[in-house]
Amino acid sequence: MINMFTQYILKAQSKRGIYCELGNFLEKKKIISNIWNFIAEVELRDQYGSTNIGNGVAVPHYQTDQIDTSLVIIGVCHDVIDWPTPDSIPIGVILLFIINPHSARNDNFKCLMRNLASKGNLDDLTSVHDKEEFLLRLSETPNYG
Amino acid sequence: MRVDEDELIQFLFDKNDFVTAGDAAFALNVSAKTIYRMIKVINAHNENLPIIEVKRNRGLRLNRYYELHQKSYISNLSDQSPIERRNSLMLSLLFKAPFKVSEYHLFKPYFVSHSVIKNDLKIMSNQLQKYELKIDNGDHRLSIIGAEINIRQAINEVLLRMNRFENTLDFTSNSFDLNMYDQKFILSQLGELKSYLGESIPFPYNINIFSHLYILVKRSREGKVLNNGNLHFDEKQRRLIQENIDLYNLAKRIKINIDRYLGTTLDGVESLFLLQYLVSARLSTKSISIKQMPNQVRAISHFYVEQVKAALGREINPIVASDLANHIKPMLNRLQNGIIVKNALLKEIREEYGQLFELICVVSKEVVNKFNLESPISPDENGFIALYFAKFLEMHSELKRIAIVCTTGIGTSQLLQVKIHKEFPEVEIACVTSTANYQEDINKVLPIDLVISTVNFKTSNNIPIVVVSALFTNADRMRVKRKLMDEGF
Repeated sequence: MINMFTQYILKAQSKRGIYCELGNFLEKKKIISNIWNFIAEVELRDQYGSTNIGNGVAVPHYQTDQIDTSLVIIGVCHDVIDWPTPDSIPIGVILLFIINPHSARNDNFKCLMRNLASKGNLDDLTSVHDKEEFLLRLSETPNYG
Repeated sequence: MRVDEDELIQFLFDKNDFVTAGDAAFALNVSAKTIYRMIKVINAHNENLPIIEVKRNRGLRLNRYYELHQKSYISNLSDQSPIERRNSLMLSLLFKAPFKVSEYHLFKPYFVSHSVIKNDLKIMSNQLQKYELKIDNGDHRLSIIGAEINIRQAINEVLLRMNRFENTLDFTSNSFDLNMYDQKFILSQLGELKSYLGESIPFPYNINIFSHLYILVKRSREGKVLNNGNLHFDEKQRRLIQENIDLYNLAKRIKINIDRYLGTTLDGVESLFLLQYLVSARLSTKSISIKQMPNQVRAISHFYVEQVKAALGREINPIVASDLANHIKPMLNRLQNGIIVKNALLKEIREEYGQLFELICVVSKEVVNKFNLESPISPDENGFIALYFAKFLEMHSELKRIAIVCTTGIGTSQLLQVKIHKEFPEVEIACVTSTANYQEDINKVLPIDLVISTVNFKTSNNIPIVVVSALFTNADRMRVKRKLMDEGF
């Protein structure tokens, strides 16, 4: 089981704007306490290496032990974001992973990521409407574990 | 390392889409500034249509129109170079030797000044010295003087340098000045050889024979082949004929065909020349076990295997020596008779098996000294030899153990795991971990040959690391592949 929130629709047009929007949402839900810490951390991770996984999907992640279990937030972008992508498909879906390194459910996340890598699963992810459909899409392929 | 424009074009061609300048710089191991400088140079060649498109926020991409015409573009580029000009000039002089050609007519199409002509002649003279040929320049009429065999060798080498003999089909293109009748005739002779031998002559030796016949036909028509009159073979040549009497008879047949085609009588030595090419080709029916090989061939093959074994510290199956012997035998013939073979894969071999290739070059030098060979073993030949070992090493590679790392061990590393498993089924993924837990986890699964990570960090125990993007692009795949091969040594 994966804890999942959907936040339609991200209106920002820049990477920083997207992180702000997601940060606000997390702050409201009391998942994080300081939005600026959150943005700095996520951006730092991006500097180490791109979290863009192709086909218009990015998977920024944020590590914290202030939450009980890891969770993922799905955001769909309204506009084209100023976010360079090597495969030239503009970013349309953001899967923000909030990870507690000690969470017992992290194995589910690993499984989710592996399924994302399977061919075809990233195609048209923007057309998915709710989290049930999203989960269904990602559970269609066998587990690679 | 100097990266030339071709490499950037090749990189973009492989990508087939927009790439950031930073990524291109990283892949080619140069700075982004150099990439932009290269783009400027490349695009300057065609004012109407930029070859590399540069778009804000997207990056660089090879123009699709250009992709379609890639080959023709590159050849246009090199046509302009002085080296190409000198090669063409040298060829026309060599073919016409010993006849004189007026300097004015020879250089006219190139629109060059007197000082350039003077310089070209000087450089060409230097290059021809190697073949004991001289350029005679009396009264502004040029001609090349020297022995026929040296002229042929020079033509062959210039042609190879000009890259004209990639495959026999190249001759059907209009860009080549071989007329249709000659082309058909030479191909028919290759067909005749094939039907007598009961097999096709393998690449690249078919090109060698094609070029030899082409040179022969063109030389006989344009220049004057000096006829010795009486046919006299030395001891070595007589032995070669005795050992390969069937092939010699075949060569004689072909020579008679050429006589008939040209309407002249060529020197009898031509049959011997052709025989030398035939014995230098690796005909598969001639494939025999190493025990039946001459002593020298056996010794050289074993020497290669022993040296490579010692350098790599790995056991090498005796089958490699036997395979290799079947290559070494015709190779020794080639070295003896000054026959050059071109290795079309040389660049790729250098890239993919760099260390192995270097090793073979060193061993080859030792071979030349130890076995008193007449001429050095060329890089092209070394490339072929390296392939024999590369084939064996790839078939018997030890299972590589790798670790995959990202910041969390949950995010991009899991994604990479699937992609790497698909691309490199031969590697064993020993662990997938986070940078924080790296030290702890890695100790549990040692030994590890390679760490693949989406973030850069310092590994312990000198384990090499490749940093890749979460997308795992073609360039990333190539880097991992190269690294895996390097670690094999």
